[in-house]
Amino acid sequence: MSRFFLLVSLVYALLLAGLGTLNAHIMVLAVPPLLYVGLSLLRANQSLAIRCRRVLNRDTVREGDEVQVILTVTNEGEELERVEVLDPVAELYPVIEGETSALAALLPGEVLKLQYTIRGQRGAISLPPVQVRGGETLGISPRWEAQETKTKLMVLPDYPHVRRVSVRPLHTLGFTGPIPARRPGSGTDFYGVRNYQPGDPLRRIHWRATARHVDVPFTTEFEQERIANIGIILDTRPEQMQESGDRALFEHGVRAAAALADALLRDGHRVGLLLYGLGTWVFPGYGKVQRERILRALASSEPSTSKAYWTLAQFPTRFFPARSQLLFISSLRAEDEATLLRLRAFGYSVLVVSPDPIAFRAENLPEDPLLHLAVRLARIERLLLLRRLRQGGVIPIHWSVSQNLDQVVASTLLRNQPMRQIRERF
Amino acid sequence: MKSIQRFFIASLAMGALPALLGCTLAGHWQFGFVFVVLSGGWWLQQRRRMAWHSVFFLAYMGALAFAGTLSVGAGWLLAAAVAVLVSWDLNLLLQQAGAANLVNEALLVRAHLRALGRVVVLSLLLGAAVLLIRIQLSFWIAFLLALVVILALNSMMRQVVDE
Repeated sequence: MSRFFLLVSLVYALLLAGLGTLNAHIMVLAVPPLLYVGLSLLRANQSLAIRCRRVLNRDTVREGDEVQVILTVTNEGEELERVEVLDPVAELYPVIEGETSALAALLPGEVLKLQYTIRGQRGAISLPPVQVRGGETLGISPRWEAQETKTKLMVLPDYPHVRRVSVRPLHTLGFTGPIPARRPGSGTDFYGVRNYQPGDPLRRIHWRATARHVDVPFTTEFEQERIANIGIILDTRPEQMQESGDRALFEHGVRAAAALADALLRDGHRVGLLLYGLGTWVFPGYGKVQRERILRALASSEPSTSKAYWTLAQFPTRFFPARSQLLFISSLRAEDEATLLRLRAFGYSVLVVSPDPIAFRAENLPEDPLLHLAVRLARIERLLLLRRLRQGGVIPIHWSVSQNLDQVVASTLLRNQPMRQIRERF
Repeated sequence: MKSIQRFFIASLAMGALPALLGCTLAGHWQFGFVFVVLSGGWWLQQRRRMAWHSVFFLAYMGALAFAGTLSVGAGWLLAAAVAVLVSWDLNLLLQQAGAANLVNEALLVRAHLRALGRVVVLSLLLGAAVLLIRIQLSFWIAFLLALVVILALNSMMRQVVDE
């Protein structure tokens, strides 16, 4: 309770008690607090001629990085006998070092400087206005003045390193990349042999086959390796990946999206991002600039509150080229199955990275004799869903968030590769 | 802030002393020790940096109001109430100073004590005037006056909330 309301309530109580008991001695006790409030408020209407400026050493950082903030408050008016300055940034980010509030008396033109360090947490926000209170000396006024500083801070998600995502979409693009394109051309992996044609370089003659057939030389063919169009879809639907209260599962989804986008862009693919539920769309592109765009979109992603995206029925296929690779990051609902299978039927190669919500929530639930049974039932239901997806041609990656994403992705994709490729690997 | 700390302890003693004296003179010396205990407790919570100052303040004022019903001299009660108000204010200042960065401490403390001094002097003067000037009022006129005060407080509070 603020000091003002405490004192006014006390005055009320004393006056009423004095009246109730017809005792003047009790009513006299109301005089000091009444004067305290009255004298303070007489000077409380004085307006503050104060200017606040907040400067950050970096406006874009990675999650967990430290940001140094310098807040300067300049008194541009008369002498202020008491000013309270409070920077509400401390409510948003953990403060590592320094003070975010000050109590001061400021002479005309005097500058108050607060310096502190905060640790970034994923998000893209305009920092809240600085709160200033002053004008009267006893500090009773409940009125805080907000001083806008127009400072923005972008904290990009921190993500684990994923070495490679070995996807095999049906359609590849024209540039050289890591995906075997199922057609002969310039590459490194053996594809087959064909009859020698004039112009073939001599060092590509398949001597063993040629030796078996007199007068008919053969040429070795290599498999083309190409890049692909890949669309990453992060599910931000309501109640999706956020039911544990602290949104930690959603954060895992964001990190997974960032890690996969980074790995795919490193391999040279053309990657786009859709935040399903928010409607944010990052147009496909290549390289480091695209990675920055995707990370920025992920930094500002929040669980959606829109009911319009309750199901996957509104999934915008027009954003993704036909027969391209889709990478869907979601903890999955039973009703998503139909849409995912429909996408597969349209010719998309669909890979679902699904953070396991059951194990995650079970950790946070209180002990209950039926909990074990409930978890088992939910797990069976989920495994059946994943199995049906696999049977439909979708590759589901069941990811318990305590496991290393790189290992989970690599081992699942290895299991789903054609035998020829697995043999080649070993 | 050492000077404020000293003022705080002095004001606590100044709060307990008149209350104890007043109770003793009215023949209720046992009840007077409630104020001594409250002062001691308050001092301890301040030393341990707990935030119970408002609880102690309200308890103190409640005990003073109860002492008023025991026909303890109103002058003693007024003096104790003023001292307790000062203790509460200084305790808050000490707490704020401990939590925030202090700039121009000397100027800040001087201005604060000056403002507090004004409250103390005016409270004692007005309180003394209230106690000395005696006029006979019927219950309904006293009730009306109290109602006016309450309405004035109400409108003041509404204005502050609106702002």
